[in-house]
Amino acid sequence: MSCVVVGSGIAGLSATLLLARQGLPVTLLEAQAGAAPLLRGFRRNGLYFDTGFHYGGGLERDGLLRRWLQALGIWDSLTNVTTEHSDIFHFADGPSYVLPSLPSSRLLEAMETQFPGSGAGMRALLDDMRAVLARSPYTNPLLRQESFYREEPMPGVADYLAGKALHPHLRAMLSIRCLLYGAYPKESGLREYAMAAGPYFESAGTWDGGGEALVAAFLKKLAQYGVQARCNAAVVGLEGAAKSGMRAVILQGGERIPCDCCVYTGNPRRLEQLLAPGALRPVFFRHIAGLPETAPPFILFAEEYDAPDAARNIYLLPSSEDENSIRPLGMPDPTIYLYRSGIQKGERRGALTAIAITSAGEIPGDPGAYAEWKRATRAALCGQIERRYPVLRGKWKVLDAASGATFRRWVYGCTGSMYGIRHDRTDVPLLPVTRIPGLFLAGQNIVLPGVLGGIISGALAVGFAIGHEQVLREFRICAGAE
Amino acid sequence: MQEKEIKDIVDAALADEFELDRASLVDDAHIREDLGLDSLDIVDLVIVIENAFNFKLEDRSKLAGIQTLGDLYRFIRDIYEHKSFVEK
Repeated sequence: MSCVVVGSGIAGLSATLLLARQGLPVTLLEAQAGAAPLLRGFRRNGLYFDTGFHYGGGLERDGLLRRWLQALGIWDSLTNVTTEHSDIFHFADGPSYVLPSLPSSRLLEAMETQFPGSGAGMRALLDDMRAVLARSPYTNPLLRQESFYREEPMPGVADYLAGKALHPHLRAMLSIRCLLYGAYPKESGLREYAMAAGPYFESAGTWDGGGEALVAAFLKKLAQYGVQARCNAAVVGLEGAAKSGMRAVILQGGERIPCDCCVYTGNPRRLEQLLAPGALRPVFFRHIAGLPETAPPFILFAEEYDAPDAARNIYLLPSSEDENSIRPLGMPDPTIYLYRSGIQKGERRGALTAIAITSAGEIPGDPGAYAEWKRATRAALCGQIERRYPVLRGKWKVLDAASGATFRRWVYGCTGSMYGIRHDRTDVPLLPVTRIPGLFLAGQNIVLPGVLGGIISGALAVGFAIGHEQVLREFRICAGAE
Repeated sequence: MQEKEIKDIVDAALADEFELDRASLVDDAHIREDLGLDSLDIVDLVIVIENAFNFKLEDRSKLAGIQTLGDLYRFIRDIYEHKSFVEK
């Protein structure tokens, strides 16, 4: 079986590694000039901006992300892993709170101190998320069963939290974790929340070099199997049909790479252009077209001097009265997330990233109008941040800004949204398998955004290609290894 | 919604999307055995039904119990009866 993996983001890197480890010949294709452009991040003024990873959950002993990184043979390449990053919340109606990442007993204690009486609700949330994760062999290494996907009714996150007798500010703090995967608490289901946000409760952190180090570790591991990412290789066609199966991948310039297995991690909205007419049923493309997109981001990359506090993650939230608590720029007190990366002890300078969301359809197409819109949006966001997090005043300088339009240029096939397809509870999710034998789908659009979502998605696609038992073997071994 | 109306919408959508013969679309036709739809087709079937009726299902877990076309008609009738859907 010869394999082609389209896209070198975290899902593509994971799928490639899992296929290569089976001794299969794999070609990894990337349309951009370098592998994993978003996950890798970039440097400006000597500061590293970790655009793809920021920080991850599930890094504790037996944590989900840690287990998968171990299973992939990547974990040992990562150094100085931190696991106790806290989220700080500043509400527009006054109070500030901390949501730490701690083992559950200490986490419950910390929340009880800030929100007396919240213990039972918090405990139920942690238990229910654990129960959700226990149901799939891709998130539970102890589970030995073939069925990995079951449709079960899942409550919406907002409804679920509303039923838990939690303090309104705490409810807003918990709801905001839907931002980790670009969803809204009302539309998102507890299943997605448990997988994307759940691992952050017990441990959240990073390692030296963040996303850049992760990409380097993957590429090094792939090189051991003789696989290198082929960059500047944009895919313009997928040759395959339901009867004949996957046949080849066509590159810009006309090169044809024969394969009988293709893991496509690009945007599924492009599949209709890539496949021959009639290769898949019209309803398949209508399904994709009907799925909603996450909101486009607006991001500031800044240099910070003499960081006023040591908080890594800061959320500026509207008042707790706003149940959904995720407000785009342009509304009063928009939701803003600030992230500090690469803080070195004793260093006066650090990288600060600020992320807000804009309304879809707001970005002007005309270059002149776009430049004006970007300048005004940047100024508005800076103003909001200085007003609601005043300790920053005079201590930061914005180096660059990125909008959904920047994302479109930066990440190939991106529609300009932060996380591609939004995973709403009532939508039928896209599956990793298609009607074309040998054509598998992976990436944030199929499972969930984030490094963990990407890894699991890559593993799931490979599981369908070569057998789930093969893929899960290492994941299960790691569970008992520590 | 009347049973007849539901049946007409479902049958038209099935015949159109899955290229099935209208004559084969009878109440006791098994969706898998008689109509030949596999588990991947079932995903498409859900989208076809949602598009045809312009709603999104609140709880897809109940789909697992559907064996025949008659079951499917009744499933949709129940949805309307209990309003257990989200308007698109």
